[in-house]
Amino acid sequence: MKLDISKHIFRAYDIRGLYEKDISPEIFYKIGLAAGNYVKNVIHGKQIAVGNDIRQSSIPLVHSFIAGVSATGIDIVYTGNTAFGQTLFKGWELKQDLIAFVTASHLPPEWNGIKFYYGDGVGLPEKELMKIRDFTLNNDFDAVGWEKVGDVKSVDPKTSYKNFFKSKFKFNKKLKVAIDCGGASTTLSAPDVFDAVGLDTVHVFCEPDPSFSKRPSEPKPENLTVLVDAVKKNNCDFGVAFDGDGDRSVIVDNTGKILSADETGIILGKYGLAEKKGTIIVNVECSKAVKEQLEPLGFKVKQIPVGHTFLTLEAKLEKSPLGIESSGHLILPEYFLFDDALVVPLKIAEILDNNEKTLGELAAEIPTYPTKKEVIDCDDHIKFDVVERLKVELTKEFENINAMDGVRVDLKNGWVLIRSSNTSPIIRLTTEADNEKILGQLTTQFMDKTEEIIEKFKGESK
Amino acid sequence: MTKLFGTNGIRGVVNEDMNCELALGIGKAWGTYLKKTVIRPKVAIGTDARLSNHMLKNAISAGLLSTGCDVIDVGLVPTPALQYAVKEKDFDSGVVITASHNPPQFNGIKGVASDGTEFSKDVEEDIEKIYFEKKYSLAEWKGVGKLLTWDNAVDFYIDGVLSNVDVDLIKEQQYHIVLDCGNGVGCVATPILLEKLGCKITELYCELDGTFPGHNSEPVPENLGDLIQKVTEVGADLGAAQDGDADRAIFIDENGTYIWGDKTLALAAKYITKEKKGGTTITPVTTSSCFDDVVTENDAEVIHTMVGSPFVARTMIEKKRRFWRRGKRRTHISGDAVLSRFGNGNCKNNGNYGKRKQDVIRVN
Repeated sequence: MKLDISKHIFRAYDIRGLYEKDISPEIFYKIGLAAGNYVKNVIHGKQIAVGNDIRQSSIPLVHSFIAGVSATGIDIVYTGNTAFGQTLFKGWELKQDLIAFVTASHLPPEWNGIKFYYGDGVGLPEKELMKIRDFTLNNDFDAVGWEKVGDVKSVDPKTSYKNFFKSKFKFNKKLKVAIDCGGASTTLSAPDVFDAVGLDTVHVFCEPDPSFSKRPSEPKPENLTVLVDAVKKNNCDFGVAFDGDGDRSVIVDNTGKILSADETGIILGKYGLAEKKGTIIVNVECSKAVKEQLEPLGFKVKQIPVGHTFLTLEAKLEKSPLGIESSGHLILPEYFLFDDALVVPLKIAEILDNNEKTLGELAAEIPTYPTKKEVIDCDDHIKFDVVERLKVELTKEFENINAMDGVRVDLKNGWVLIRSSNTSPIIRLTTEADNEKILGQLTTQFMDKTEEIIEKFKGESK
Repeated sequence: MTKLFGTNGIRGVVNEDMNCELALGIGKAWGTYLKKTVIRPKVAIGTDARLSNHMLKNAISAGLLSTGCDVIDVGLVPTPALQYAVKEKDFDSGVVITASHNPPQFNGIKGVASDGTEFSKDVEEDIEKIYFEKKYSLAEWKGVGKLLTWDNAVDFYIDGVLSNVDVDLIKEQQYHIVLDCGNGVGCVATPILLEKLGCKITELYCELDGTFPGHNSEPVPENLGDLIQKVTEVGADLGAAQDGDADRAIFIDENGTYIWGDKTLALAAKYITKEKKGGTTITPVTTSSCFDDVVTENDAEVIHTMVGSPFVARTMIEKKRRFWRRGKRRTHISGDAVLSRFGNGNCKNNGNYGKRKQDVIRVN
């Protein structure tokens, strides 16, 4: 079968594209063959768990993917239409070699894609994903003979998933939580699990709505007005919103204030972890408040590159109690490594159950620093070189440099991170500082520096 | 002429000529064909117990779904059970993943029309044309089909068979039957059916196994040595064997004699035409003339068709003749017109007539 497959659907953390434009059942069949080949010949495994989110196009895509995996002789456990966490949980519980979840996460409903995790809950790093890409593009796989074709078993993960949380969470107080599933995949998990653990719930968009017509599936503040109103109107202890598949959640405190991932992470670390030790993993974009708040308690804070696959991998290596990704992926490895967003509100509920203060009061104790995110246009063919040059020059100029993902400069009263976008002709600049004045100064200083180098490159290429 | 569809569907060796790419493409062509006349077709899909059943079912389902057909997965079913469900329930078409009696390395695809008959050659040609020209009508993201499951197809089928026979009469006989399912998909239905008919069953190869470890799946004498021996050994009234998808049944009489399908058909036809005092019978040109002999004796007419159950069924519909169930509204094809392709229908008729079988055979 000859197919035009764009290599651009293979991204750093997952595969994504527009249905019947960039991706199709044929392409997913080939990706299935490639994933099967990866399991068989790279990680020398035998079985894979497969599930899919609530998107309509997930159905033809997941079944053609399964056909491809089966053709390579790898056995499949199919979990059906689920939230991200339910499929990941089942694959983890059954110790599968690989877990594949068909989803485009928070993207609009015409998109779809696929994410891969290992059975221990660690996301596939880019390097490994690119092996699956290369197998796909180079037709590097074999279909096995009839007697070795992979078996497909359907397993419903919902009950064991719910029971897992029932065994982990018990509340003395009657806590009231507003849940906003945005009509997406967590409609299949969150209301059921929250009821089972004994939380009082107020439902916001908790009916399955695969076209996400009620609110966009990205849980940005501007999309959460209904949830915020519901929290206030119903006197909820807090509210939670999930993205399209349920690997990110956003917490709203009882006053209706939307917490950032950093703030939520700090609260989890400060009040939710019994033993104040171990290394907490944060990405380079996280606020300096994380370090300031958590290190004095006895934790170490380790910075990692942006991307939730690094988060799960580092957390495993460091045996971390907590991982914080500023984009909203939070992990609590005491339960499991994968970034199922459901554990976050449950842990918040546990903290409130053990604490006299409201979530608003706990959040108010955390200092927030002003931040700024700027975007600088820069052609694709020079953007990576520009950042490389910045690394060299800034290392000469400043002491505290972290160059693992772009370049981050830590100063006494703030920090700046300069990264090139992987997908667009832009360089991103993030700044955080003690106050607005310093923030403005730092932003201008480093934007000027970046633009100066871009100009130099433009001059050189002429 | 169709290139892919043979006498009974598409067949080939798994992951060689019968692979997922073909199944996916056929699914799309099938869906495209159905959508010409139905806005949102509902397609039931079932399989026999071959090892590649899930793989091919997933591939063809993906194709159907991508054109905007809803797919209802009925799981492991005898082919006639799916045909019966399609006819009786609100399905626009049915797909059976099976290679019937072929060796285990084969698999295939059979198409079922909304009336429960196998696809006509015209439909198969239309689907092939769409497939080869790749003129698929694909749904956009919000128009793709839904996948549902229906677990009751086998029970529904068993009930359907029971409603067509004199259960009490059969129960009274307390038949002892040696049943050889040949590890095929008949295992999920036939033992239950016979039990409900009050039969004592001695099972042979009644465990599902897509490698067919008992014997080759075709119920011809050389594959049924164990069955023949068992019938006389236990002193059973009857031995019955089914092929891989249980749309054929073959019988062994109480003396251990293998009865060819034509004779079983003639036996049933003899008693039915006698009961109905004539009528019209339809059978392929390959059927033994013993059939003609016994039915003409009862003043019934015989129409011969091309070989293949679709032709028999179609002719029956076209002639608008009622074969054996004249005057009844339920004239489901598999039970009535296409007896030789209705594994459990055969068993039930032998329940009714088995005791008198020797008479018929002497006719010839």
